[in-house]
Amino acid sequence: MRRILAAEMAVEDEGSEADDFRPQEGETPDTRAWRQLRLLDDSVTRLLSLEARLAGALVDEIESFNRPSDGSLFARAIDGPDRPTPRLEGVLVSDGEQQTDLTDIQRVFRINRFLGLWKQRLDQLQQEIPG
Amino acid sequence: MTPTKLDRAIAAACQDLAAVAPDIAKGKGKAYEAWVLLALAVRLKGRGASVSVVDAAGIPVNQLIIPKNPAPMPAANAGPTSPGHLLVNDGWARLEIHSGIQYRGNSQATHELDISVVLASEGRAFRESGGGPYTEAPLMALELKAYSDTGKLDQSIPRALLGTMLDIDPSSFLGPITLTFHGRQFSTELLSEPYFTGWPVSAIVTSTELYENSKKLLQGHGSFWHENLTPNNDQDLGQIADKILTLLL
Repeated sequence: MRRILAAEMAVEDEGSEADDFRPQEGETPDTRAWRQLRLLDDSVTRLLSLEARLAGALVDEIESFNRPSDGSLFARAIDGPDRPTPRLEGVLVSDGEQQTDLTDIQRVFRINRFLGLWKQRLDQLQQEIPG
Repeated sequence: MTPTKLDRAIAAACQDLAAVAPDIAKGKGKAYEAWVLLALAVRLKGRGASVSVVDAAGIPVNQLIIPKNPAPMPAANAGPTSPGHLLVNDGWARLEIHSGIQYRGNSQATHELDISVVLASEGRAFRESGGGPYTEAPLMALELKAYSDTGKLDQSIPRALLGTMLDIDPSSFLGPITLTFHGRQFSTELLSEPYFTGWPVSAIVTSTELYENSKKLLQGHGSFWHENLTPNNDQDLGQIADKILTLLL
């Protein structure tokens, strides 16, 4: 999506994303669109796979965070022993009205389901419009 | 140019993605932000600091709420559903680590810092006076980016970070200063005040790579970067935690 935006903006800048969108020699509209679609597929796959992996990593970090810690000798000397704090149960993203639990396994399922549908659509397109 | 059938199919797929995962499609990367925040907390604890998750009033809570969109520092009485933060202490000093807080720069323009470390005394006083876009300078500012379409981060991101830091705290661009008094020299590097020893620190933290030109830009202005930082490659988080701990000394 950002690729398309960048292409439309045609940013003239080394290190911009527009370079991939410049027409290349000998390309037809379809071969150019396929080249861009494959770049987009790479981005989407990488991005969503990372998103799903982050959810798992976040759960692991919460578990580590909840392990009891003695704190440093210095901190204990100044503050006394650690006061008991509640277990951290989750991390929520809030817009003030709606909240999304980033550790919700259903969210990971939805991301993976979208990835599956995305690949399916690519396969269908490949059959309809070879490129 | 008339869009081909394939062009239309691409546009439809993009809309699907935006509908299923709007935050991802807009590159907001809140999962990345939350992971970095929690991973830093764990590494700080592992290094002996005491870290707790608290709400705006400083009361320990069992769920960390981070704002979806850039949000002002909440008022102390905002209640348990408002964004919280990490409270870090190691005896003398207390720090707060915030996510997605809005700052007001010297120009009065507002900016968001993905993760920022502030003095707890200043943060608490600001919330108790009603909150709002934060006007105190952070000690550390991290700009997080979990995506890149090309595998490298667009150069506009480091440029934006430097521009933001210039507006929030121009002193972040000051290097060591040497004062000469009648032949005797005093270097600010000898002073312990964080502002004179390379603070505040700003850095880009990304799951991708930076262009060499971006690195030159950041290095030239005393800023840092941590690239390819993902759950599979998270050693740099220890370096960031160590930097935070130097503020507690």
